[in-house]
Amino acid sequence: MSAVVMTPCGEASLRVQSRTGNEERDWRVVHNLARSLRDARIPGLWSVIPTYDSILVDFDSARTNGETVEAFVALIEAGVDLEAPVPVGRRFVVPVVYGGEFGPDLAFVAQEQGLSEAGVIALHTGADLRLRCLGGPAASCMTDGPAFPRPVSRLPDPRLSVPANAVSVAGRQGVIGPVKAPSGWRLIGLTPIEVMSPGEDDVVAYAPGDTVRFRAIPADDWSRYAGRTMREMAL
Amino acid sequence: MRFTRAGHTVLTDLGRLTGPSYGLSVNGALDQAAASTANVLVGNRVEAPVIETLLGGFDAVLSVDALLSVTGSPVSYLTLDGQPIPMRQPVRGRAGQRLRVGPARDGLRSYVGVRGSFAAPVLLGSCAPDALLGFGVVLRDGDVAQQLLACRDVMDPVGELPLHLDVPPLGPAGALEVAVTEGPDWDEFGSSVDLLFSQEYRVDPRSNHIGIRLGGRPPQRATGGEVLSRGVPVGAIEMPSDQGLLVLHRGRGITAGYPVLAVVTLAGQDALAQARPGSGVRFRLQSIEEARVVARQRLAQREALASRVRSLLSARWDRVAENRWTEPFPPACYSRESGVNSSGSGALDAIA
Repeated sequence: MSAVVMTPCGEASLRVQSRTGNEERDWRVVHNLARSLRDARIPGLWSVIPTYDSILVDFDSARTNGETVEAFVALIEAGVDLEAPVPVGRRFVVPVVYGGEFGPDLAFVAQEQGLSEAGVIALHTGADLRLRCLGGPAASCMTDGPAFPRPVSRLPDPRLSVPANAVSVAGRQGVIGPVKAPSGWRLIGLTPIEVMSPGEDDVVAYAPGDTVRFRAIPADDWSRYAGRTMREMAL
Repeated sequence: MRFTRAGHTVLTDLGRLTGPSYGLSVNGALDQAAASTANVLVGNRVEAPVIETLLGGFDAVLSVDALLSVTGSPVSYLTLDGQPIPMRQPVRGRAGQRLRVGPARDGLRSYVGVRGSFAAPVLLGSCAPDALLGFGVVLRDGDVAQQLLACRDVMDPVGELPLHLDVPPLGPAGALEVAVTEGPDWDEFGSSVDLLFSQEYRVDPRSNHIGIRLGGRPPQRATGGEVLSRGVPVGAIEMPSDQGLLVLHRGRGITAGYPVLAVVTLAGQDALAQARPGSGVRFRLQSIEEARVVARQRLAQREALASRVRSLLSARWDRVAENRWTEPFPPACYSRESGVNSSGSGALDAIA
């Protein structure tokens, strides 16, 4: 039986959800399916947004419709092993200045986790974190969270503006926000590198399946990295 | 075209359609029908860059001769060198003439299409500004938008053509009725969905290209539980607070962790793009099939208009020569068997 559930989302979008009952398998299903959908170059298909357990497909309602897209999804489902491991992509080593004015929530996160600030930094920099999906706003780099003892609570009152290239955590997740934007996540540091460089051909250097390793740097080293791009941080 | 008073004016198009695959918002003209029509009226592809001006209008001097059209929100004045010109019609302008687009009346956004369009930087195939990325052409006083084509000869031989292109204006101001289809999380709201259709919501002044905020009683989710971040479409109706609704528009972040109660139809999204703060909005439920019928009708109207404009623009207005038959009879295009013109459509193709 198909573990993929499809629901219309207006005239021009379709939500495709994986319901395997397992988070990791759901993630594999939606990312394998999303890649196959893009590769299939289906006429009228505009964009595919895979996240954790669902995909949003946007299409040109003048050229195709939800039923047609559903039929393509069913075809791919029948022919592709959707639970195969998502190919391991690139590994980015991202320098971060933690705490202080760079990461005003570091102290709160340390207190909430029952750790020292150094302990939070050690966990945050201590493992490669899988890039799970690109999120709003503007290609936010959504990763697994570090191995904190418990989920991180969100800000009760979201900040109206968080600077570009902010490194934050919430729940069991982590994120690097490439642009200045409002956010309710706990801001623990900033990276001096340009996470997104819109002038370049491939706009967004990272993709789901890549991994991110954070590296703590002193505030004095900020200028050494300023102006460098995420692309240059790939190994 | 040099902007002597730019106001809140940008170069845009129908949006960065592949952007959401890369995490970027689709953006583009908020009133897609008006932007498309501005292009269609001057014989451009619908995707060509157009001018979008918000609220206050702009003044500009044409750099080269142009065929232009103004669509979208009615404006309090629209003149070329002081002479009133009509909206929703192709209008010929001369190099050096001053185009003045007055403040929006009834709606919010007006569009100016110019035959041949404008030069604009492109990201993922679209010139649509993305405020978050700092990308796109946001015009300031003194800026020049380069017109790509000088249209000296268009319609010249007969001067003012009697054009009656019958493009319907924006509906009357006042309460707006907006069609929605059931969203994927409709069932999570139980009977409280009735609230959506039983009251008039009010457009909040904090509305923008990211979302239209509507004051009023929102339906309440009957089920609890965290929602994992997932892709949300333009038009999605979300309830981030108990104070009202948020209808996501083209600048929306591609993912959100809220349930999607309903999705505003494509026609409804265009209408909301013109809804002024303080005005009333009522929702009406449509099936996806009904919404598609409406969308197809709108597309058919636009294509019919495009075909008429193309005929006008490609017509030759020189005097028809006297009948001097030179071909042998029967001509090559005449089928002996059926007696009908079997290849005559070729000539039509050339025009269209």
